[in-house]
Amino acid sequence: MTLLEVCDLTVTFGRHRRPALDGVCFSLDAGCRLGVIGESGSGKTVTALAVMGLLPEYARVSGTVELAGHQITQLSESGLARLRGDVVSMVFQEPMTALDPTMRVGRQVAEVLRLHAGAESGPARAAVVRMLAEVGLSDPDRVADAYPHQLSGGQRQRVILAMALINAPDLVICDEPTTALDVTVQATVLAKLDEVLEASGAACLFISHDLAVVSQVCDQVVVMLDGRIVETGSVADLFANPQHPYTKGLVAAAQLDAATPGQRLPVVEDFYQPDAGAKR
Amino acid sequence: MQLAGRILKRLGVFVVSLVGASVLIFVITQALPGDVAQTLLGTQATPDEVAQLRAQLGLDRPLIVQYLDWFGHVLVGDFGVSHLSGDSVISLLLPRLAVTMWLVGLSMVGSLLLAVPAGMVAALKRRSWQGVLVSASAQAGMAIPVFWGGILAVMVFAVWLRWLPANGYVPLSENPASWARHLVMPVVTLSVVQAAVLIRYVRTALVEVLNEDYYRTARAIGWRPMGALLRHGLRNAAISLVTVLGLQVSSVLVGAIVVESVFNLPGLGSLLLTAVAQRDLLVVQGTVMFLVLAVLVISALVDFSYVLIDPRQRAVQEGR
Repeated sequence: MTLLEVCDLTVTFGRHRRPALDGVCFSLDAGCRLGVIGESGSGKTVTALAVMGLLPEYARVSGTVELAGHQITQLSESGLARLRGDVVSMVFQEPMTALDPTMRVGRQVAEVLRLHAGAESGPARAAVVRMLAEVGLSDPDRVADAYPHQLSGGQRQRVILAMALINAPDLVICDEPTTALDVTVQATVLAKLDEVLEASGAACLFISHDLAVVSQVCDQVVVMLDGRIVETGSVADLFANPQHPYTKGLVAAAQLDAATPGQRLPVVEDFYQPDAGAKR
Repeated sequence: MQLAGRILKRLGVFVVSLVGASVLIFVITQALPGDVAQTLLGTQATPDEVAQLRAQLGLDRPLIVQYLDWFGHVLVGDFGVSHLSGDSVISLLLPRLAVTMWLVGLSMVGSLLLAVPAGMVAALKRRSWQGVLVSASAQAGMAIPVFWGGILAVMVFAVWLRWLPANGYVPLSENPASWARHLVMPVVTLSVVQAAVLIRYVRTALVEVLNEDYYRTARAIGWRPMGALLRHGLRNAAISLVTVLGLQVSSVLVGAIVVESVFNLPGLGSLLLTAVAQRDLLVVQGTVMFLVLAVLVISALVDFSYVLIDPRQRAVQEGR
């Protein structure tokens, strides 16, 4: 069953002539995981925000985004607000700044419950603590009473994960969820993400610039370049048989064990040179 | 322990500011041309008579002695006796202090009640006509001098519409309804003028919040823009707004002095103006000392309100 269907999505900001997204099409089935990969500025985050209906008001949008039967581009603000946090949720890139610094994190997680289910504060607290334990926080009671600045980056990202998952959404959008974390923490947070997604059965749109990370979490991948999708396929196919020169570059750069010791490591530019006219 | 250190430091600043202010006030009042002895005796007095009265009032002593005498008494709460009326300065100040406190306090509250919602509209709707309208009105409001606004209000509401008394004051304890009727126009005038300044700060602080990641998080969990701003924006914006509020207290006090004379309210402002005109220097010194004290106390309160608003400040003080 198709959960998310994005069709010919084009987004332009303000007076820019070059669209940030240019005719993007992809679909995602319920419970499946799709990686969106590309360099910064390729339109990954804009895609995520378009699915959330969170594009800034000065963005001009054409095409359709259909999520669980709702036309996102047609919905009113209050219609969108009902979906956000309930049907679709988002894990952001910056755990250090994505939480309100003046509010205890337990209350921030509980808010997601209260906004959608109208939960009472007593049971909400219990559910919050359970969820915090589920995302791998060892002392969930203490964490719930902490302010964001009292937590480490990895802890905060787990709190954000808990916020994204507590309402059992159909789709979780992860926008470079581990980029801001150091590598060891990255691995444990990714493993946890994999585990909780598996347990909840939620679909996932996983955005990253790192093919290695995407291949750990996702089954399908789309490769984005300059606002367009240049290649789509399963993770295995993409690694075995990349078609677009840009994808070839990404794959070569991700396969570190294939590099000859003493030789220069491959970079994307060895395979793909953006033509100067299109880039600038 | 850091909190204790901070309080001590703050107290030190407080004391130094107070002493510094007292010296400045004394020097400046001494530098005023004119003489209370001359005022008391009138233009017919001979220089001998003036000199005799000056000696009697202690005005012929060296300035440093006069200063120490005055400030020493101020420290124990004795602001001296008005040379003109013979009343103690404190007995002149206190009843007027109440009037000014009401005016300033209500105006601060009023300006916040105007500026916060208006600033929210200006920030959220900054790309549409509603926001531009609010910002433009605030700009126009800032250009209005407070006395002109007051006179305009008197013309409209007291002279033409005859809804409110043009001037004067009735103590709250005497007749609450009449007290309120007399205060409405001065308070609204001062609130509007202060709000016009505040709106810009509120807008700037909130626009900053709109660009913050946590605001986006709030939207992503299902808050609508206004809800996200109320729930997660105001408290964060307050951290920078409190500083502005602290700085504005002194401008509200200055505004209050003007408003008091426009509406003929018997507050500290009108006392100060009369005392300056009559060279009743002890009253001038006492009143200004009071105003300085008020500003210092409020800015100290502002400094500590950060601790209440921003949990990160508390962490620093708990010695983390």
